[in-house]
Amino acid sequence: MELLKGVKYDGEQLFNPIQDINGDWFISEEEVFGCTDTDYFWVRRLVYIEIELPIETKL
Amino acid sequence: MALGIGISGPRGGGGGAIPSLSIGVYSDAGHTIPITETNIGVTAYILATPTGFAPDNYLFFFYDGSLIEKIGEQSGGSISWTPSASLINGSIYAVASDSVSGDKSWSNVDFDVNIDPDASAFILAAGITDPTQQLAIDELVTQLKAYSIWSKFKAIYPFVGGTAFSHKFNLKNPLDTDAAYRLAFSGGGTHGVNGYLPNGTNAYANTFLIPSVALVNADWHLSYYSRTNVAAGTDFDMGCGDFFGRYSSTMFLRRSGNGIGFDSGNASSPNRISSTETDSTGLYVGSIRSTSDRTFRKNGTTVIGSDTSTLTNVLLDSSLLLAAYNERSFGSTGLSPNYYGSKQLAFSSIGDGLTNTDISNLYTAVQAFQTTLGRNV
Repeated sequence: MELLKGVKYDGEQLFNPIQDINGDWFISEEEVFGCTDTDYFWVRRLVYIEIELPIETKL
Repeated sequence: MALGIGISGPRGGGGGAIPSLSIGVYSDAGHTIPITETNIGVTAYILATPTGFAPDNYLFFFYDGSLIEKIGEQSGGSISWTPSASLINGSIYAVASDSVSGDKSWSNVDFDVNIDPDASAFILAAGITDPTQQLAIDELVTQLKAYSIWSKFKAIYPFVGGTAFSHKFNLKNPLDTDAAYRLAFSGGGTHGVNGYLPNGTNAYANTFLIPSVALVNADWHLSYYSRTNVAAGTDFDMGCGDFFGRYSSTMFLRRSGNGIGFDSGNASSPNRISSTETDSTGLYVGSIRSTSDRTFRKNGTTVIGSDTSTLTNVLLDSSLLLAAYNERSFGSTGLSPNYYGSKQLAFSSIGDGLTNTDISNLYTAVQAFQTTLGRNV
């Protein structure tokens, strides 16, 4: 998943895989369904997971 | 001239009077006020008048010396035309024909379509073809110049055109390069006619604008036109700074608990102007004019907060983001997006410090722009 970072998924926008607080990598539905690059259609086979986003409070 | 329309001159066949055609362009539908130019998006009224024959078909087009734009083809000699930015200076042609007698004639008149050259460059780069969007861009540039604030911007992102491609261009320098501060979108943002909607999870746009390089300490501004009213976590809607908020140039418009803030930090502090906000829609401008003059305003004149205490300002050496906070230590240039925002973005700018009058004028221009596009809040 981390290898997707910086790869264009629709000719303009870049994948931005990030980790949740449990260390699980994820991308958004918008990236999955917006992907038009056939080399990366495999992201459509990724499974949904429950993610726990970090809650930043220091700033 | 080689137009390829198969007519050699302003005369036709048949006996009797030589068929001829005259053409006029007017600013009114009654054809009383002749004009030789108009602005993009402003309708002109064309009248072709035949002599010596009775045409039953008229073809109208605009020719700029290399490209032809068809205005229309119809049975009558009166037609209206709202020019776009694809063609600027050229001639309007009318070709009239009578299918019964076979008579034909044509005429042309020089005509200019006015558009600001900076607006034209952006429109062409971003592929904006909608006449209303073209008009909105032209009016925006014209107004910013009329207010003498155009030169104060390093980057202007109008978010017009509805796609990631059209949204990425900087109106001040519409080249498709990082050095021109062209945006690079990452994560799951969506694009539409109302602007760019980040998802609040992993979407942001990199401006490639490094404050310490592009801006001057204690003389800069940020602006964000938000179409979303939501109290969202601890997000930042644009900015950069270090882990502790030092060296920061940021804005957040409404967090959980209704906090709102504008940071202009230095080596030891975020230097935050903060308040509460219950409606995070509108144009927000944070401006620092000197080390003892900072203001944070909404919709031109509403003062969210001001600060006249003397505090130094030091800018970060990593790029500023839209819809996120680039959390980087000073001296470790790079990209570490965090605090993702979720407010729909319909305009943003980065540039020199703006005076209170400048901020008011910017709002007037931006709100007119949004109104023309039908997306004002």
